[in-house]
Amino acid sequence: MVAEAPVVTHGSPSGGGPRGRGLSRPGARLRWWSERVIEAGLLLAALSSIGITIAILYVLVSESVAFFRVVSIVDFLTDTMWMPLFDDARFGILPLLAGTLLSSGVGLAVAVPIGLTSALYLSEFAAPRTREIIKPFLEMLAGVPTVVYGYFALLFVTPLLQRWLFPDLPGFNILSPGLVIGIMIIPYVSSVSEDAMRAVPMELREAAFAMGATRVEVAVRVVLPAALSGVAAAFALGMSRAVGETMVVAIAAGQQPNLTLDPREPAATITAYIVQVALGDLPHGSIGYLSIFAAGLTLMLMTLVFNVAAWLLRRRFREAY
Amino acid sequence: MGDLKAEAIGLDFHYGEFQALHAIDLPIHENAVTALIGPSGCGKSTFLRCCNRMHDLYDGSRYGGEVKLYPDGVNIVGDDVDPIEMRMRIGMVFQKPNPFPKSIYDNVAFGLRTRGGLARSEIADAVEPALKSAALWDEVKDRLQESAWKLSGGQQQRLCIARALATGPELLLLDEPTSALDPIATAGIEELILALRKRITIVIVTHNMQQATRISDWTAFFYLGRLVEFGATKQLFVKPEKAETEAYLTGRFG
Amino acid sequence: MSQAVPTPDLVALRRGIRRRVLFDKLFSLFGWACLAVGLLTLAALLVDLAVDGLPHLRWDFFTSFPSRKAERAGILSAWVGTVAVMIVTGMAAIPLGVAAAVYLEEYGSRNWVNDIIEISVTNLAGVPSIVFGLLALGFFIYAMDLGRSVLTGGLTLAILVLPIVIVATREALRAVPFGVREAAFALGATKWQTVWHHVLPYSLGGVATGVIIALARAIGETAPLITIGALTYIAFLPTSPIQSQPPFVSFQWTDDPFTVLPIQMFNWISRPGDDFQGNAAAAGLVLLVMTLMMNGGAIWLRYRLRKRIRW
Repeated sequence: MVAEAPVVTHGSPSGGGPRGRGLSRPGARLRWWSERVIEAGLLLAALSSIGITIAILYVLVSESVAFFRVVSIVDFLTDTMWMPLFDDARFGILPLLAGTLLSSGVGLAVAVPIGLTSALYLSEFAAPRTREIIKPFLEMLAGVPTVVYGYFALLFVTPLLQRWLFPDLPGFNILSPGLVIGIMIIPYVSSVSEDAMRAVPMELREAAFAMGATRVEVAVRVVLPAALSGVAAAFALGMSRAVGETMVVAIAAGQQPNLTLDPREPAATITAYIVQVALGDLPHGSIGYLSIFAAGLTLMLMTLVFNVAAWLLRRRFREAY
Repeated sequence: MGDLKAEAIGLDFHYGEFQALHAIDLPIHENAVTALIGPSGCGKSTFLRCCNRMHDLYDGSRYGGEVKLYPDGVNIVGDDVDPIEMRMRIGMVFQKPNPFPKSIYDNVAFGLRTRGGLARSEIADAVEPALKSAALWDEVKDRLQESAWKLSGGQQQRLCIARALATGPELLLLDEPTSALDPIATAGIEELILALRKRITIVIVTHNMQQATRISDWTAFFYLGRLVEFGATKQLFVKPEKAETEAYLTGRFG
Repeated sequence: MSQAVPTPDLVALRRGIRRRVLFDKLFSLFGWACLAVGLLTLAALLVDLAVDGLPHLRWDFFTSFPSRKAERAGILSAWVGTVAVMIVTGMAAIPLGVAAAVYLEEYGSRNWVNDIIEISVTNLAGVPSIVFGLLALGFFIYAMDLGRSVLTGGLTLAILVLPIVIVATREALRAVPFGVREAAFALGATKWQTVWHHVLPYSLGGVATGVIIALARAIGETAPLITIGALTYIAFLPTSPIQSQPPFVSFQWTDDPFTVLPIQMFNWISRPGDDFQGNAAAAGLVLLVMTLMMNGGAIWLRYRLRKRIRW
């Protein structure tokens, strides 16, 4: 029995096996096996993320396939009306896409300048102590539950805009949730940008300072160009967040699909539509039920584009330094 | 040799509690090369960075005494003197070549653009002579818009020298400019320094004593934050006055 | 002390510097203003919720079920539901996430399997939360028939925060110096003994930070739970886990329908009338204080760890 102790241990990939020691003792074999079982369990846990990814794709694609058996892809992509609940239902994604891009666009218009300037300030101007104190507060912006942001957009920001800027602004509109989304993604934009800026070697800053550059000149003319791909990655990540944001728009933008480019109008986003359908009680397998998976797939593909862009840009940045 | 271009008079420097330089008195002769030598940590680079107020970038640095820059006699390290002005008037080149991630042209134009108020043509007119002075023009004249990071190490360092020369500095500080370069590139830089010596005042920190004998007119030996000995290079190397200098030159420490 | 007369050239130089230094100061102010936008919004949010919600925050708000009458409505079923769902989320996400991170950091070698795992973790971290709701709807509810239960909700949020746990744990493991592992191996410990007795205990603080941040995120999530149809009127509590008859413990509660705080808040926001908005603000305030305290705790923990551990 003992003589049959598995010689293969010498090839154990983990390197932690009972190599060359105590192989002939009965406990060693048990230990070898328990090590293998544990490693297999850990591998299984790690593989779960692949499993989840596949499950997401499978669910989205299979239900979307069922959806596209009824609605042609051409109609889906070109029809300008999204009216899923009428007898004569129409499923043109364009209005939802417009709402999504509009709200994210407003959000990015807020988050990019503010997040970028904040990052430049924290990285190039602030004393280390100031940075340590401010950053956690800034990061808290990303920790606020989105449903709370929705409340804030609907019952604080919209009335504020109505009183001071746009008296005719409807109660539901894209502008107010867009602005709030912008505030929400500031920490994403600023912390990823700041990481990129701080990775710029000190020698470059010294070179510029040695020529008599001021802090802002160093920041804008040297650090920013040097960190550009990292900063662009931050924008792409922010965009991905904004596109996928759900509760703020579902609460404050109204749920009427509306093909418009005016952020002051109410409009539904892809995410808000999914929420709206989920709130109702559509039977499993109905066209309305299937439509949220087609919408979800569209959303997933959009965020995937931005995430992959961010990933490539970040890799490029890391290769540079 | 001619007049003084600059002069340290009783210069002290502190990093927080630590005193890195003690009462340095050091003349810098005009249109000549002054080499600063000494073991690492002796204060030679610290002294060089005082001349450009680079220490101001970091908290806890404090200057005492004076470094006068002639002809106007401004005290470079004076509290009332603007470090930005001093850095614009004095050029510096670092150990590791550090061109900006911009085109070759934009690197050389950086200082002029920082100055502001110059027309495009004025900047363009200054770039070519700067690159020529740095003996780089022939190698890069056809690819001025290419990224400076594509150049070799030696070329990058010559670009950094061109970048410093473009603004017509009154003093050029070189902080071990060849320590990151191979022997061939080092020879190129040394040749360049010899070509520049009649036109501009150069202070160079070097860890390489042969280099100091090859390119410098004057040599200052630093040890433990003090200036031990200063003199004409030939004299200092052949007949040092201080025992510490001799010990260092003969390789007994450092 | 430069009393010498500046040459005309220097006069121009100094004028230029003054202008540029002024611009530098202005930009610095602008930087502060940008930081202030974010921070002031956070403050405005807190004040707005407090003004609207504090009057409703009486004791019986925590002990009452939702009701059609705003003044009688409370968040009992919501906070109990939140606790129940978080227990499931934590029990699923923490072991799974930590195990996956241990594999990636301590066992996995650089090969294509590892690359694919890493890519999927990165990818999952960027998937919009509502997509996890669609996954749960299609998979947990219709494929596995788990129903709109605490278990479904908890598992949905668990896979949502899994990447956060994995990334934080990996970082914590990476911070343990290699010497610790070598020391354990040198004493004859197996790989797992090394990990379990040495590496994991040393990285516990970092893991805890990640777990807190993950749970804070899960507590505030609304969209995926709405997608699985959790927005219903729940005026009862899940089955008690402790029973008077043997076997005294019951897992029936994981099978019960539920509501959670953010969903209760969303429910109240979407009702017309100011009364329920006050309730929504009060629920939001509770939610916000919980998440901010958790995030603040995680930041504090991270700060403490950084100060204490100097390898």
